[in-house]
Amino acid sequence: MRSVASNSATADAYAGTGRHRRRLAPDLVRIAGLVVVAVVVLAPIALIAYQSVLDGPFFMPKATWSLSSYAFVWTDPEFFQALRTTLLLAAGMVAISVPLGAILAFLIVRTDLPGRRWIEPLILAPIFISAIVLAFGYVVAIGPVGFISLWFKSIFGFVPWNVYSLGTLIVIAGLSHAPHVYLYTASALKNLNPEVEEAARTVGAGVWRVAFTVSLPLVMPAIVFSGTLIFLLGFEMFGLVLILGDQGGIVVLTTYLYKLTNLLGTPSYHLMAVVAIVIVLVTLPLVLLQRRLLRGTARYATVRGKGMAHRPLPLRKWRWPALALVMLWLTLTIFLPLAGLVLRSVVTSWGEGIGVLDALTFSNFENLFQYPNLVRSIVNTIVLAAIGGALAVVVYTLVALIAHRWQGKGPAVLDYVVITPRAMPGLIAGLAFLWIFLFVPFLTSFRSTLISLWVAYTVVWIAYGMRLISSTLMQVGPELEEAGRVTGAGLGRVTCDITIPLIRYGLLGSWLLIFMTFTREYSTGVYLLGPNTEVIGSMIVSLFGSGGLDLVAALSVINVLLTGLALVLALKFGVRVHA
Amino acid sequence: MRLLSTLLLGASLLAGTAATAAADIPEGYPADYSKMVEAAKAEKTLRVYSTTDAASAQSLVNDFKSMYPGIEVEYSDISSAELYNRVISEAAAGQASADVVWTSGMDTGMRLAADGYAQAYATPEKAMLPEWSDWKDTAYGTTFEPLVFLYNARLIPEGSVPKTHAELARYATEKSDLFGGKIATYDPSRTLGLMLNVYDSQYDPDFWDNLKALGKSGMKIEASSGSMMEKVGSGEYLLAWNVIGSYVPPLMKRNPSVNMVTPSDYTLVMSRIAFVAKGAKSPNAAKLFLDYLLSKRGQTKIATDAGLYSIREDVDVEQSAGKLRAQLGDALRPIPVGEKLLEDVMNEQSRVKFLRDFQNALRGQ
Repeated sequence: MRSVASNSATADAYAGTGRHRRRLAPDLVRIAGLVVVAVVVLAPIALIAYQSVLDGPFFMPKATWSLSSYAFVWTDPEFFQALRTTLLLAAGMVAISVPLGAILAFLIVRTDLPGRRWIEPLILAPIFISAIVLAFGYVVAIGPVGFISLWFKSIFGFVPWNVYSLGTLIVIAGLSHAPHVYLYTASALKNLNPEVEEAARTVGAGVWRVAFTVSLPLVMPAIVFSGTLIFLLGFEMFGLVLILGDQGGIVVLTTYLYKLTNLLGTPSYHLMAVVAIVIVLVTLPLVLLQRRLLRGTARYATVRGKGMAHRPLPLRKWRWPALALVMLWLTLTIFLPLAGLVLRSVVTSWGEGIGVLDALTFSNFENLFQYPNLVRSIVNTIVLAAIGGALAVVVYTLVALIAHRWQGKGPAVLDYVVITPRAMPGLIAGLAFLWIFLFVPFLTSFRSTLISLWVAYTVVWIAYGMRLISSTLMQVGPELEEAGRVTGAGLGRVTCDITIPLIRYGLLGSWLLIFMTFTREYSTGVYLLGPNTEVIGSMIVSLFGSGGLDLVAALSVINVLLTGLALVLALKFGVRVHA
Repeated sequence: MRLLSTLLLGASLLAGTAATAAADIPEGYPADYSKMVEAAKAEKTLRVYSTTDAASAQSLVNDFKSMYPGIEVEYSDISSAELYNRVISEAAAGQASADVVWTSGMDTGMRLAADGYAQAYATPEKAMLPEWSDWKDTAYGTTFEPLVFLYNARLIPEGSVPKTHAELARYATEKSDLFGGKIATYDPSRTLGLMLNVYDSQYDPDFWDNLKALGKSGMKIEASSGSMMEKVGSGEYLLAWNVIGSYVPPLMKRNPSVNMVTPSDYTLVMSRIAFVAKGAKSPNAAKLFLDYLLSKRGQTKIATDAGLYSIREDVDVEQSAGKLRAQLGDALRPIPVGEKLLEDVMNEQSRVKFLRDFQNALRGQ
């Protein structure tokens, strides 16, 4: 994000007198922008921190300063149980997803794996499926009376797996997060110089030897980076555990927090805030660590929809086993839960003793349209993702432009400000925004509108959005902008007439990616849920708790269709997919 | 000309009768009720915060609107915890909030009423309501829903369906190859679960022993009622206890394998609480709605179209207090609407202690 200092100085020198004045004004604008972003982005976390040192909801008159909330949580054995489970889950996920993702990346990018052209887009699919939808699909497919379980039972007489155990949860989480590792490793591999591998091949190294002693070690920074990302995601995991963890008594920090909503009879915001702060204390260092790793190598983490330039390594006798491995992963991670989901959405009753094919019906979808709040949720999701997504891209572009070609410490400060929401679980961010929209005077009229949800989503995803736009901005050579500056155009003119038009395709691509991100979101909207602020994700969480799993299935299918449509469009236009 | 004036006269007569018919004040109401109706119509909008799902409540809302045309109803269908959160935070922020609160979370509803978020209003329907359901003419119980055993009739042989709580525990032990790991109940740390279990512990002399037996048989705890009922329907569970009876008939229609039992030793009965909110922007419309909910007409709709159970004895339909009383008599244990509910269920220390004891009993300690 730092431009080369000498080039700008030269441009300014050519600009002649007024150099100092011209450099000051843009700097003031940038600083003002930075302050605005900092206030908007840090407000929720400040509010949560404030709430955590009170002994009751902050808006109740009798709440006083107290560390009793911390004391309660610190002496609750269930909290430590949840912490242990979270660490175990996160570590297990890393152990599974990192090797798997790395090998997948090597196979797709570096070898002549058959069918790799159409496999590549499929690998990215799990990133864009909502976690609760995925979990629900697994219950229906491989739960105790799931379709696959019953079929297996009818052949072998028993079911060897338990979908509700911690082990299965870790496996599912690990498998579905391999795509994140894949993305970063694959792009790093694509940027590698192929000569090193060819050298290894010419002295007789086999494919796997090349993989483990040459290629993968060379992209170790990208692999390490994705490992920290997976650990972070594991710490914040909510949807999967909500659905799959309850039965086996598996509690992680986020679901422990969610349970606190009712534990003491009335919502215990002070306790929830404490748990949120604990989560942030762990994830914030991770996010900061990520930023350092990202600077180095994986900065250009992109995947093109087009073919590769290097000569692939031949797999020979490993061709079909490798393909089988990849297909197995695809089946377990995508086809299985989605098939379960689709099947569940077209039946009204299922399970032991019921013939599936007899019960096929579209009534779940028909019933969906009888509920005004569900219809609204579908409309709201589309509006929020499409129009809200476009507006979010505008916001992210403005924020990215603040740091664009800015010298000095400014961009680094902005970076650190912008990544803090990443450390907060979406659930808590939504709650904080509910309070902000309730108590800040000029915002109250927007509370029951989609605007409050849009603000929450935009802030929660600001780091991701900014990274999308920044990497697009980096494609713009500084010479083009300096040409404008040299002829006397101010910063604003250069931005509007040169920079933005050059990145317009990148902006469109970012819009599609933000669309998918907003569509699959489910936790941020939970506490903001109300008439007119329903979206599919938060409705699914709400419905799951209160009943009507037919509707959950139908809604989930619609959610997947929406995201899938956007993903197909994105890949068709060659959009570089970021995670 | 004459034809036109006749037509006009006829039309205005019709309109007049229609208007008077719509504004018909129910029998036995105070003489100045029509003044309240006028005031309500001037308020234009009624905000209802409720936990009853929008589809079920649609018939009630439409009926109410047909009785009092000109009042727009904004119906918010939210969870009981969310409802509590909204009412207190909106009141603290001085924001527009509910006019009527109608919640199935008896504990949080009672908490709101006792903490001053409700205003007193003596409904004209008072005389037809049981004593235990009226708290200081402020909070009213509006339904009479039994807590039942939901079971999978296809997979449980006829003689093995437990009819009492003691039988449930006994069958769980004796018929463990049938019931092992296949019985479930609400997570007591969630809404409703704790309240029901606390009252179970009061009415069932062997509650803790039964709980230990169930724990030994591998009883599962479910946080989601929908998930729990779904699993009974699919056969993943064979039986779930403390299920709200009004949820069962729609489930039975979709899935003929399920059925329910109202336990004959005692059956808990819960009642959705309704009250007029303290700072209501449309207090008159709110009072009209509350009266409607408690009236014979409203209660009949509640028990039929809305699928809940009516609390009035003079409503003679399938899902009514009268029918339940005929079936179970003395075994009915309605949960009282009042301060006792708060003492039993909302004391923070005793909640946490009860939960610890519950978890320990499940583990056999």
